[in-house]
Amino acid sequence: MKITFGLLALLTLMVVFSSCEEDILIKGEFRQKYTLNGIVNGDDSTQFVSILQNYDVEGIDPSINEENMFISGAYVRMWYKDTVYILTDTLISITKQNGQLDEVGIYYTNDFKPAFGERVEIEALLENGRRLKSYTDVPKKIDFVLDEVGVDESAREIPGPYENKFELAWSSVSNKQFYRPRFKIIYDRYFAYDDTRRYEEVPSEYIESEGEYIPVYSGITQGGAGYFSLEALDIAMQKISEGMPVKSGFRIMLLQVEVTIVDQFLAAYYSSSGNLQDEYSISLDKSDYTNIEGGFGIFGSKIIQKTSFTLEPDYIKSFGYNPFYE
Amino acid sequence: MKYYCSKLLFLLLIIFSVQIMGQQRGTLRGLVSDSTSGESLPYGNALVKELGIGASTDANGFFLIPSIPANNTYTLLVSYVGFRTKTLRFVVQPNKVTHMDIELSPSGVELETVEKIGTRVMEENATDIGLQRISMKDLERQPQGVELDVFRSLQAQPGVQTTGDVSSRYYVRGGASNQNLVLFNGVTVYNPFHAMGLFSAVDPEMINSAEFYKGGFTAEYGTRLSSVLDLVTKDGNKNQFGGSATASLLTGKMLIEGPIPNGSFIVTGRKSTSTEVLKKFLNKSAPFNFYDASFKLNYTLPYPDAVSKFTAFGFLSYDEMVDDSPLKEDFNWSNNIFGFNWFLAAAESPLFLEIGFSYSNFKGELLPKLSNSRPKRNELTDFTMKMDFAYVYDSKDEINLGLYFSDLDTKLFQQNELGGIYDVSGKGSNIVAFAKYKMLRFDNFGLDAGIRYNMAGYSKNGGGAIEPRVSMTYRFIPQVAFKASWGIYQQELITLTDDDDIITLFEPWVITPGYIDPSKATQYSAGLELNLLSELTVQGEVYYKVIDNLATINKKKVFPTDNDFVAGDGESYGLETMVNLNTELINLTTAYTLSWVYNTVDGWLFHPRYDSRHSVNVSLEINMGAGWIISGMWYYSKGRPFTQTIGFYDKFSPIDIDNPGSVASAYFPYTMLGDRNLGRLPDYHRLDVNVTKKFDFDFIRCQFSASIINVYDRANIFYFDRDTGEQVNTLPFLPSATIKIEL
Repeated sequence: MKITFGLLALLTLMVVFSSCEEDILIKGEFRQKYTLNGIVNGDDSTQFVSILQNYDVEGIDPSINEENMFISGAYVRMWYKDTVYILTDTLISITKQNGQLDEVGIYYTNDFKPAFGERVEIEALLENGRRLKSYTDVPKKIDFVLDEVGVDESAREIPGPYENKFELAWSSVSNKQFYRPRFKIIYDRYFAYDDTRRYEEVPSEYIESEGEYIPVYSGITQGGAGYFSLEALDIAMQKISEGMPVKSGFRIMLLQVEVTIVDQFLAAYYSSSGNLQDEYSISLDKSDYTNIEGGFGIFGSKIIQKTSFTLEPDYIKSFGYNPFYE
Repeated sequence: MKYYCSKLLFLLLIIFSVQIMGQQRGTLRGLVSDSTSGESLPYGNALVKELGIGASTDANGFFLIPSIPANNTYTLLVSYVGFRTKTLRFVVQPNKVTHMDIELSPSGVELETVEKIGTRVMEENATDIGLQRISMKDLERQPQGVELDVFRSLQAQPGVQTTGDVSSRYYVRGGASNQNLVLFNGVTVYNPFHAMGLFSAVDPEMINSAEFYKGGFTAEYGTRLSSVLDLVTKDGNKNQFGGSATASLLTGKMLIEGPIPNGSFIVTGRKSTSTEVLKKFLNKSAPFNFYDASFKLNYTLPYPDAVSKFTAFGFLSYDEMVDDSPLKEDFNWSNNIFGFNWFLAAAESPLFLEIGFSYSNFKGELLPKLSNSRPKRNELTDFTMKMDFAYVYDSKDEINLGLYFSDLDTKLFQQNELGGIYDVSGKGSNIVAFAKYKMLRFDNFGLDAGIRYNMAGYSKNGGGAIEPRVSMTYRFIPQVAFKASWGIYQQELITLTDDDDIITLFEPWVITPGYIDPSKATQYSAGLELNLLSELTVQGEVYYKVIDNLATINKKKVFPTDNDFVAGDGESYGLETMVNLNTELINLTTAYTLSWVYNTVDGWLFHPRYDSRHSVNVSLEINMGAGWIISGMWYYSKGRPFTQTIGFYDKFSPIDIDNPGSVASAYFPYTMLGDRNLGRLPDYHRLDVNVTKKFDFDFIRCQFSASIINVYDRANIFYFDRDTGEQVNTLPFLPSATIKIEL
C-alpha cells in the first residue's frame, strides 16, 4: 500500500509541476518576401500589376497592420510577342470597405491587348536587386456549341425548347484553361427619373433556406458547359422589378452569356484561395499556390467570350415587362 | 498458378511425411475455456509442474506442449487472470497428441475480497518482440472515458503516438495511420472508425482477444508497413443463454449469446444515442448517427480427440452525418464484413489447419448538396481466401505454411476544386504464399524465420516482391532475454489523405498507382526483457525503420493531370521501455518512448505531426476488493511538431477575376508559413481516472463505471486556427459514466 500511495504522490507532483501554462513559439523568424499579382486582360489594352512586400505584426492578428506594403520604383517589364512593355507605377484612388477613399500604388501599361493563345512574360526587378518572374498563356478561343437541342442559334429563344434548365456548352482545343460562365438579363429602366441600362445576373440555381432565396453561381470549372434552371430565371426576372409596382417601366433586351476563360495558373490560384473544405475536416496548413518565381502571388490571364440569346416576348410579358425585340 | 500449387503440394508432402522419431514421447494439446460461458481463454498459461515446461494459449485458447515423456503421470497447472488456477493430472500416449478440454472457473466477485491473479508462466523462448497481447479483461480495467475503445487503449502502449484526443487514429513507430492493419477474425477492416475517427467501430464487447504487433510481425501478416492489430471475437456462451445491455453518454448497446447444438452464437449491436458529448471533442455540434453490429456463429464437430470447428461471422458498421442545411454537406460511410472459417486440430497429429473465405467492403461518400465541397465517393471490395497450416514437431519446432488470395476492387470518384473529375478504378489480385519455421527446440532460444512471396500484387509493380522476416529470442539467464527481429514489408494500398489533416471525414483507399512503386519498409528491432520477480517485468526495445517509396499525397497537385501521390521516404528510430508490476493488489505499468521520425517529400526533410520525442504513460490499477476497481492513466508526450508563422502578406483575392484592376485593391491578410513542422507545440499531458464497481442483483450482474477525462483540466493544445489566431484545445475536464447489466 505504501508503494501505491508513494506512486500516487509522485504522480500528483508531476501533474502540479507540469500544469503551468507554457509560452508557445507560434512564430518563427520573420523573412522578407515579395508578392507580385497581375491578371493579363485579353479584353483591354490596360494591364495592371501590383508588387507588395510582406510584414510582421505584434501577435498573430495581421489585420492590425495599417502600413501600405506597395513597393514602388521597381523595373517592371512585360514581353508580348517581340515587344517589351515597361510598366510605370502610379497611385490610384480606391474606396475601402468602410467607404473611405484611399490611394494605392499600381504598375500599369495601356499599350497592348494580347490576343487569344499568346504568351505574356513578366519580370520585376526591385530596387534591392530581388527579381520576380513569371509568364502566362492567354486562353485560347472557345466555340459555343449551339446544336444541343437541334435548333438554329438565330431561332434560339428562352425558355423555348428547354424544359427545366438552359444549358450552353462550348469546346476548346486546350485542356489547360478553365471557365466561369455568367448569365445576365440585360434590360433598360425607362422611368423619367432613371433611364439606364442594367443587368440582372441569373445564378445556376436558387435554393430556399429559411424563407430566403440564396443564389448559387457557377465557380471556375474545367467543365465545358454552364447552365441555369428555368426556375432561377423566373426568380431573376422577378428580382428585376422587386419592390417596384410599375412593371411596364422595364424593357428586357436579351440574355447575355459571358464566359470568362482563365489560364491554368489563375484557375489554380483561384481554387487554392477558396475554402472548399467540408464543414468538419480541419487541415492545418493550407496550400498557398503561386507561379511567381522568387516570391508569392499570381500572374495569370483572362479573356471573356460572349454570346447572346433572346427571351420569348410572351415570357417577358408574363412578368409585366416589355420586350425590346418583338 | 498450376506451377505454384504443385510446388506447394510437394512441400507439404515432404513436411508432413517427416516423422521425428521422438521415442516414448507425446504431445499435450489443450483448449482452455471459461467454465461459465465456454468462451476460450486466450493468452492463459499451462505448466507441467514436474517438468517445469509450459506454454501460453493462443488467440483461440489452444496450447500445445510437445515432447513430454509418455506413460508418466504429470500435474498440469492451468491459470488465467481472474480465474481460479486449475490443477489436473494427465498422461500422454507415446507419439500421439493427447487432447484436453480444460474449463476454468472465474473467481467469484462477491466471495472474495480480492480477485485471484493467475500464476504467470514464462514462455522462455517465445519470439514475440514488438507484440503486445491485450485481453478484454485488460481493456476493462483501463479508464474508459466516454466509451470503452480498443484503439484508445493502444495509445497507452510505448511506441504508439496520437495527434490529439479527438481521434483514436494511432501512429506506430513513425508510421502513418494508413500503415496499420486492423483484422477482425483475420479479415481486414478498412475504415475501423466511427464519427470521424473519434471511436473505434469495433465494439469491444465482442472482442475476446487482441494481438498488437508494433513491428517485427512475422510472415503470416502482410499488406501493411507498420503494425497489425489482430482482433479475435468471442464465440458466445456455450452453456446458457445470456445477454447484456450497456449505456454510455454516447451509445446504447446490447449483446445476446447462447448455445446451439455443438456450438454457440453471439450477436452485438451498438447505436449512437446522443452525440451531445461529441461537442467536447469537436468544439461544435455534429449531426452524427452511427451503428455497428457483429455476429459470430460457430459449430464444432463432436470428435473426441480432434477439433473441427466451423465459424461464420460478420461485422457491419454505418455512419452518417446528415445536415438539415442544404448549404452543408452530408457524409456516409460503411463497412460490411462477412467471413467463414474452418479450423481443424487433427486427432492423431499436431497439425492445425485453417481455411477461410471472407468479404470486406468499405464505402464512403460525400454529398456536397449546395455547399462548396465537391462530391466524393470511394468503394473498396475485397474477396479473400486463405489457407494456413501449422505442424508442431516433437522437438517443439513448428512449421507454418499459408496461401492467401485476395481480389481487390477499388473505385474512387471525386472532383477537385476546379471541377476536374477523377473516376479512378483499380483492380488487382494479391496472391501470397508464406512459409515460416519456428525453431523452439532449445529452452533458451527461439527463432521464427519466414518469407512472404507475392506471386501477384494488387498494383502494377507489386508482384514478385519477397518479404523475408526473422524474429528471435535468446534467454541468457532465466531472468534476462535478448530479442531481435528484422523484416521487409510491402504495402500496395494507400489512402488519399494527408496526415496534416487533423480531422478528415473522407479517407479513400486506392491501389498504389502505377507511376510509383509500392511502399516498402525495412524494420530492425532488438530488445531486452528482464523478469526480475514473478510480479515485475521490465522490457526495453530499440527499433529502426526505413520506408522507401512512401506514398504521400501530392500537396502541389493543382491540375487534374497532376499525380495524386508522390513517392517520399521515411525514417524512424527510437527506444521503448516498459515496467510492469502486477500483484494481486495493484497493476502498475510505466511506459516510456524516445523516438525520432523523419519524412522526406520532394526533397524536403521534416518531422511528421506524430513525431514526439518523449512519451510517458503511467497506468495504475488498484483492486480494492468487493468488486471495486480504481484505475488511473497519465499520459505525457513532448510537444508535437507544427509549422510556425513567419510573417504575413496581403494576398490577392481573385473573386473578381473579370476586373484585372482589382489587383490594386482586393487583398486580405494571409499567414506565411515557415519550414514545415519546425516548431513544437507545448507538451501534452492528461490524467484520466476510473472507478468501477461490480455488483449482483439476484441473477443480474451489474457493472457501473465512472470516469473523468483530464482530471486537472489541462489545456492541451489541439491546433492553432491560423485565420483567427485562436488556440483550440483538446478535451477539457470531462466526467462520464457507463452502466452495464448482464444476465
